Amino acid sequence: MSFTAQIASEHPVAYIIDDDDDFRRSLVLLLESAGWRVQGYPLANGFLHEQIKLKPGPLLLDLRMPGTSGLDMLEAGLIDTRRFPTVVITGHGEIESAVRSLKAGACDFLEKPFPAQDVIKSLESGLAVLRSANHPDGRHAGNFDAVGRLTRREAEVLRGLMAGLAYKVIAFRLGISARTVEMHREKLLRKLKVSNNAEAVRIAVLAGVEPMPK
Amino acid sequence: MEECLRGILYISESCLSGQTVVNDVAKLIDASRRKNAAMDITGALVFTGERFAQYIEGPVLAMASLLASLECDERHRQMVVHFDHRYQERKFMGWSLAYHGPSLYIARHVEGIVSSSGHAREQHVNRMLRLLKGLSDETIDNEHSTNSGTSAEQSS
Repeated sequence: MSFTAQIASEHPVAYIIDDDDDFRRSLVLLLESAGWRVQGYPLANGFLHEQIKLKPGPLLLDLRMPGTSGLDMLEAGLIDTRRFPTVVITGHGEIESAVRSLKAGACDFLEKPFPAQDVIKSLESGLAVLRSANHPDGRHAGNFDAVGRLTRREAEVLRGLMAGLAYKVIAFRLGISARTVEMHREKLLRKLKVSNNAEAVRIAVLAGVEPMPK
Repeated sequence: MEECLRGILYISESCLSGQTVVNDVAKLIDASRRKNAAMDITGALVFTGERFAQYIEGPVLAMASLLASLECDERHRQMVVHFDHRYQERKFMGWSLAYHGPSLYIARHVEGIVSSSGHAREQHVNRMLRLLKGLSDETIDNEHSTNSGTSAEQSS
């Protein structure tokens, strides 16, 4: 099935990584009864090995697990959150964990125990993220992906532009010359297929890039 | 005596809609950043798609002028101030968009403030301030840290 067919299908796919067998199984049953097709993983590794060939879909990720924790995986960039919009779940809902999860690219954060409708709503909003990534307004569909292909430096410069910072300030922050900033800027505009900073910033906002702090 | 600062948290309903939202938000961030910097106002904004929650702090006069202009800003309505205090020291060093995204966790925190009162509301406000602070805090040197987390950085 093609990517588009998958996310448009009536029974969307979701994934769960949680080492708590009872919790995972009951969540699978709950979601299946709500019309989702769900694949559960007791260990992060199982998912990580397969993710490249899995169909895109929202992922429920346990924050704390023996071995590689959900937060570790996110912060290390091991999960392709553009294909698997990630909802972090935890039994310990500290604000700090929520902040770290969202900053690491999670699309939502859920505290156990949660009512059934909350997890379904979060998965639906994850699905909406997938859909908008593929059909934003048609025009930026391709360059949304292009944001993910920027180099680290280009992405940093883009975040600087979002913050409305002068090239000199961005240069200072990154410890490079203003000339180099200008060079990265030109490259990123080309990659995003836009002709000016405002257009680049609009795509960056759409892609969920955070502006550089002022 | 030190100059007195006023800090305010308000929540309002967004009037931004549909097709132009992304564009409007980008414009709003850009304009707010310039304006707030010029007025020596710092803080953070969260946009859930439905509501804005913003904490702003700055010199008393500048705050009065910003509040007046916020009250007649047509991009939102039903603006309610849930926290209004005087301080000597800033909580935020700059102004930023702390979060704009699909998170229902954030939306629930915002709703928590709107739908409560008294002591419960104070607790919700405190949590919101911690969220705003956490989400807007980023160290300048994040070359080697991976928790600055944009999808762009993760895949580069």
